[in-house]
Amino acid sequence: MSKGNTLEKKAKFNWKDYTAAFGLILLVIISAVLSKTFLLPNNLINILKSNAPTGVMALGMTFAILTGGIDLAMASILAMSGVIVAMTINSLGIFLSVALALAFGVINGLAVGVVVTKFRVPPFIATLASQNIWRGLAYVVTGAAAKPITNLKFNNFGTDKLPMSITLIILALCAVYVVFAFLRSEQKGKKLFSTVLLLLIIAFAVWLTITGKGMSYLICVFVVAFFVCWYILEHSVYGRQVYALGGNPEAARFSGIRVDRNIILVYMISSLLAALGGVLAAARLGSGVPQLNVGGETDAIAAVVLGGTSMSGGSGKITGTILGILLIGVLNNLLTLLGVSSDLQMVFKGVIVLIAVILDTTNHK
Amino acid sequence: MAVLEVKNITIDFPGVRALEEVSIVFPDGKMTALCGENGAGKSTLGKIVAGVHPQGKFSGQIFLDGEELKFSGTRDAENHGVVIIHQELNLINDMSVAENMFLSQMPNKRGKVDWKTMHQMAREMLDSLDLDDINTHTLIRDLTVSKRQMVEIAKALSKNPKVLIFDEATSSLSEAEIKLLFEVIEKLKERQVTMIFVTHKMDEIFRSCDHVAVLKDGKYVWDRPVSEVTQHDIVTGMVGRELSEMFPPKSGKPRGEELLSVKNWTVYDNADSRKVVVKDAAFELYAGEILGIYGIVGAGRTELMTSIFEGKAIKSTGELYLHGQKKVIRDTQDATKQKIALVTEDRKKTGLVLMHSVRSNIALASLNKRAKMGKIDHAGEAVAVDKSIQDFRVKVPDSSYLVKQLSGGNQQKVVLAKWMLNEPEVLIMDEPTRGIDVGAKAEIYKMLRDLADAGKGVIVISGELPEILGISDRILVMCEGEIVANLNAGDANEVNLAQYALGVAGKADA
Ligand SMILES: Nc1ncnc2c1ncn2[C@@H]1O[C@H](COP(=O)(O)OP(=O)(O)OP(=O)(O)O)[C@@H](O)[C@H]1O
Ligand SMILES: [Mg+2]
Repeated sequence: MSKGNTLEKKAKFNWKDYTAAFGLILLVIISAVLSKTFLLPNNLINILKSNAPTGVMALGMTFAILTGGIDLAMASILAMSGVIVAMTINSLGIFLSVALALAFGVINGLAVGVVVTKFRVPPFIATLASQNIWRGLAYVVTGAAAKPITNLKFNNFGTDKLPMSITLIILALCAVYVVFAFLRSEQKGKKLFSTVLLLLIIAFAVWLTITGKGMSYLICVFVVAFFVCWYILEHSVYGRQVYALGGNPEAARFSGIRVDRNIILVYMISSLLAALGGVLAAARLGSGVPQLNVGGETDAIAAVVLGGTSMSGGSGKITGTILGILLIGVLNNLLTLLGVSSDLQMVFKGVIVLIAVILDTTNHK
Repeated sequence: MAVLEVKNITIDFPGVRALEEVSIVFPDGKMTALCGENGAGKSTLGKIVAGVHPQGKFSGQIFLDGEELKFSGTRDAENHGVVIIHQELNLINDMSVAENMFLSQMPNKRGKVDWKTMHQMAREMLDSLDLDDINTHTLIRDLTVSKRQMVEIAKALSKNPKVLIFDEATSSLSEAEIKLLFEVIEKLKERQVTMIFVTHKMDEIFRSCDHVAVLKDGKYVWDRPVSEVTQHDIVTGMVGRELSEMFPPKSGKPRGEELLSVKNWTVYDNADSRKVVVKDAAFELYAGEILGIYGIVGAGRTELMTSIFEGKAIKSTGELYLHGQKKVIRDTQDATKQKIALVTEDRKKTGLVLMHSVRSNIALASLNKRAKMGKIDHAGEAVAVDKSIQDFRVKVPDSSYLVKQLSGGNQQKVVLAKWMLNEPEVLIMDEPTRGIDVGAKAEIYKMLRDLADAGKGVIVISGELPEILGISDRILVMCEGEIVANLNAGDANEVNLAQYALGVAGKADA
């Protein structure tokens, strides 16, 4: 198990902790070699943007899987949330209709959580049911046709960018913080790798910002959502309790933790993030599409598993999930650039996930 | 005939050398006690002999009757007649007793399981152990811990071993069951089975072992016939220093205010809510005292105490008072907030998150205490955890070590440390020293006494008479779900406690 460098200090650098990172680097190199267009900033931004909704979903999925559960309803909630925005935005306005979509996610999560904890329905079944309910309802209320969004301000959010100056200031602040944290840290040797990695990522973001003259709002929302989740899992009491109850619910309960309440919260979080993903997708597409992202929960699950989170719960990292989602995003992009059909892409993804899981189980021996 | 010899055994785990150049000859047809502190390497040695750590994971040799053994796994070892009974139970909860016993070698007819023969064989085995009350069709999860342990023993015996290793097999058994086990062991000796007996209970060594070998910090210290050693020799060999008194002197200070009390407290069975497991219990716990709870397995001691801590998760009726005020405890979090702590009897099931680090486990019950606005105080936690690792002398390279990598006794120390960090006012401990070595036991007893002297209330559930008598200021005895006696330490002795626990002479012990 690992819970971030704040908690786990291993005497030696263990490359096995970074399989996903190395996998990603390898894939990027292969992509750069195979496709001339891959490394163009526009393409990279595109990868990030188009994966932002799934990425937000994968963040929520990480919570569910950490408890040893799963949330199969996420892709349906994503679609339903987009539909809600599309259908209410003209009467309610942007703010209220987005709030409504998010509230829908939270309430669904509450219901699922209660069913899971109080009625002891396995998460697999409970969320499968909710998957069907919301997908079905999304079809029913739209008549199975995409609902275009005419609110320009909302649609612009999907294409607009955070101005370059502001983005650069934020990135500079991040860099300063990372360096400071490193200098203050007591185990510099161990932190060196992650610090360098973080600085490289920031440098990369600076490059993207400058070449793209700003940073897409969709990506910004995703990054913010990631930081919130990361903070919860790594630095909050609640996060630690999620890990504990994922590892051994009875021991967690006997340590004075309200297991049921915490699990309900987990499904509220995953559902909320799915709804947020729906809002992002709606903004990007400029419409609420009921058939959007059918089967998308598998991408989220794959990202989480590729990122090293154990399906049996209790161990994993949200940073891993980010790597996982990038892996999948880059792979999809590469296959598309190479002209591989989307059907064959599915086959590739399946194989990659299988390899990741095998690597993971051999690591944990 | 089976002389077992290990030669120059060395094994390393990340950060620890668990055994270093250990050589011991285990005389044939005898039982050799294997002694050592927690983490000395006893279980590891047993696992090496039984093929759990296969050839290649360690260096050194194992000989049986002069022939070198190279096991590729436990199955291979069993085929050679070497069988181990593990420190932690290894049964599958959702399978029946018979299935568990014959898991690795189901009787079959051309691949089809022969259920009838299997249950018959299981029945015979259990009967030979006087376990007629265990049905072979019962699921393991429906058995008490001690019965599970007996099934584990029956399972090992059904493999017809030449070499049999008991790793703390008696730690969860009742006195009656231990007696039974020792009778079986005598029979095995007649059949020339060579046995290794890992235990922290000194009396068992002198009761039934012929030979004793001592390990310290992974190194061989000495081995001698039991007839030539005293308990003092063994303890000094294990600990490497003279051990002071086992039990700290009782303070003799007058006890303080009433901390916790229950009245008319009735608890119902978790599975069957009509069945009463504790009936009309009433007791008080005062500040500054250690209250011992004695009784045989199944007397309702655990149920009484967990029902207080678990609150509404368990069906119970009656009144509960904290500091003289009537309270309802809703759940474990509520209990923890009221500064009640419960060290459960089953560390693997309810005490530890095995896959997590020592640090996360020790910190778990006191997260909220250190947190500011829900944010974990990482630095404060690191300091607190490292201090408790030292206080309890948990043998671990550093706090990021996973709990599942610790020896059994060290795992138990982690559970104790977890609750101590929360600074409870009422500390309830269910068999707190199970699996803990003599040296560490003495230190834990001292810690408990210090807590009591600091005005806290301590409740110790134990089935071990010396422990109950040595540590308690006052003793409650439970029998068949009722509190049948409330004795001051001065009035209690082994005889009257046992009589109360058994419902006075005449009644058979369950
Ligand atoms: N799988 C493992 N991984 C890492 N370390 C291990 C592993 N198994 C044992 N150890 C370490 O080896 C040492 C010896 O452990 P072992 O379980 O043999 O002790 P023991 O003598 O049986 O103690 P106890 O009386 O507490 O049961 C301990 O320090 C333990 O942490
Ligand atoms: Mg052991």
